[in-house]
Parts: sequence; C-alpha cells; structure tokens
Amino acid sequence: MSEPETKVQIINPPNSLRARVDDGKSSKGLDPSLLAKAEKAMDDVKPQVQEHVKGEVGRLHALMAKVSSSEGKDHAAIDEMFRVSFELKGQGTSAGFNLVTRFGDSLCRYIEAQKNPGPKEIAIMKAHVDSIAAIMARGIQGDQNPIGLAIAAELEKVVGRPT
Amino acid sequence: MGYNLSKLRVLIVDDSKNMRMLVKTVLNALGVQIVRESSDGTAALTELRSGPIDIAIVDWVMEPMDGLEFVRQVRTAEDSPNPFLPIIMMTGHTERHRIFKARDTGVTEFLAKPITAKTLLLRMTNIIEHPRPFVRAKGYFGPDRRRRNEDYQGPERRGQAKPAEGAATPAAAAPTTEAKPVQA
Repeated sequence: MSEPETKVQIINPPNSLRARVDDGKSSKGLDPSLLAKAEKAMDDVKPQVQEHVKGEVGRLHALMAKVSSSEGKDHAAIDEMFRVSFELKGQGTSAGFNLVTRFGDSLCRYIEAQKNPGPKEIAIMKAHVDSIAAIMARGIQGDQNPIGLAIAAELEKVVGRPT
Repeated sequence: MGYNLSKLRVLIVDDSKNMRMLVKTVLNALGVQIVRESSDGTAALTELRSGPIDIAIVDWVMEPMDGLEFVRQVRTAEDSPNPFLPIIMMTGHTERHRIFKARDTGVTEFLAKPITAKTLLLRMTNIIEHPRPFVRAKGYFGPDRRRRNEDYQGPERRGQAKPAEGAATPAAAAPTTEAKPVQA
C-alpha cells in the first residue's frame, strides 16, 4: 500500500549549538557590547572594501563600453555586467557608498529583464553606470545625497519594482 | 558577559574573497575563532566532510555549485555529513519568490546583502536560541518553514507524524504531534 502524501516526520535535533556557546560561567544571551565591537571591526576594514568596490566600478565601466560598442550583442559582457552590478549591490553599503548599492540593485534587476537590449535599453544601463561612477568619483557616502536620490528614483521608475 | 562564541565552528562560502573577509572580520569580532572558508558549494561540501561545522554562511550565486545546490546536498544527499546543519543564506537576491525558493530548499535563515554586523548577529542569535524542528515531508526536508505561532484553523495535516529516524537520541527524536505551527 502506498504511503499517504500527508505523512510527515517532525524531528527535534539536539541543540548542540547552545551547549557549545554556553560555558556555564557566563550569563545567557549574547553580550550587548559585541555588536559595537563587530560594527567597529567592519568600519576598520572599510578602506579595503572601498578599494574592492572601486575596482568593480572600473570593471563595470569597461563592460558598459563593450556592450555599447557591440550595440547590445555582446551577451557575455551583459552577463558579466549583471554579476558586477550584483556585487556592487551587495558591497556598496559596506564600503559606505549606500547609493552604489541602490543603483547596483536597480541595474541588475534591469539587466535581468533584458533579453535583447536595443539603444534605449543600453542608454538606461549607461545611466546607471554613469551614476555609479559619479558617486565614486565624488566620494558621495551615505544615502542622503539629493541629486543621487533623485536620479535613483527616476531610474527605479523605469526599472520597476522587484517581485 | 554573554555566550562564549570562541568554540563555534563557522564555514563561510562565497566566491567573493572580499565578502569572505568582511564576514570573517565580523565573526572574529564576535569572538568566533574557528572560521573556515570556501569559494563555492563543491569546495564547501569537501570542507564540511573534513571536519565538523556548527553554522554555514552561504552565498547564493557561485560557480560551479551555487548556494542553493549546496543546501540541497547538505539536506538530502545520502552521504551528507550533517543534514541538520544550520545554514544562513547570505545573498543580494531579495525578491520574494527567491526567498521562498531558498526557504523551500531548506535554508535556516536568510541574510540580505548588504550585510551589517547587527543583521548577522541577529541571525546567529536566532539559530542559537530558537532552533526550529526539522520536517521531513514529501518533497521537503529542512527546518520547519512555519515560524509564526498562529491559531491554525485548517485541517489536521500532521496527525500522522511519526518518530524520526536518524535523530541523535531517542528523546531528541520525539515527534511533535500537534498540528499547530512551531514557534521559532
């Protein structure tokens, strides 16, 4: 007889993790001072993250040039542009460039939606890339720059909301 | 003083060396001393087989094996070293359908990039303090996907829950027979 489709097993694995972190000497929970310590550590490595982000922005610029000169036919360059913009989305804020994360997010969503980009689509990609380059060139940190915010909002209108 | 994280063994899996450095920096600041690294799912599985790991923090987009396939292998492969491994999926993929896909593959926690020390700490705290039971059902094996303790009004669907095989101790294997969602 076949088993009913609704059959489930509920398993409670032993919580060995709790035992590993609870040495019996300290209070329960996480030390609140740890967060401040971890935030400071992230701040300390920010220059390294910034260098990485700058390098990725340079790569994005070079890829955009390839996509433009091939009139959107260089699909390998477009795929790589997606990967780089995705990386910038993930690390821009950690480098202090929050708007790079925002433009990177918008750009990778836009690229993902394009099968065969034409002149208009390429122009929209380039607007993203130029905006990211401008943020880096001017060293605009945080997420409060009014011009950057206005451009990001306009581009996001074109790209649409994530689903 | 709170928990002592120095004995935790954490595996970071990300193809970005910079991202691994960032996560490792935060973990070290939190007191985690044993941090291992891999650049894709295949290498991570090898790492997992070479010694025990308590928590894996895994990127989604990697080659040749991405994070989702890594989760699938850990949860369901016959030779998996630890199907119950807590896995934090750390990714820039924040769209709802992708979050659901990660959840349905057996991810324990979801951590959106860009990460902050606070979000990483919160996910780790949740794993330590609120471990979820595992569910084995048709087409799914992983942490219980229902986190909210709702007053469930639907049909009884867990009435046939049976004691699990492979749990570490008989007590640990005791099934939860109630149909109500488990609070995470």
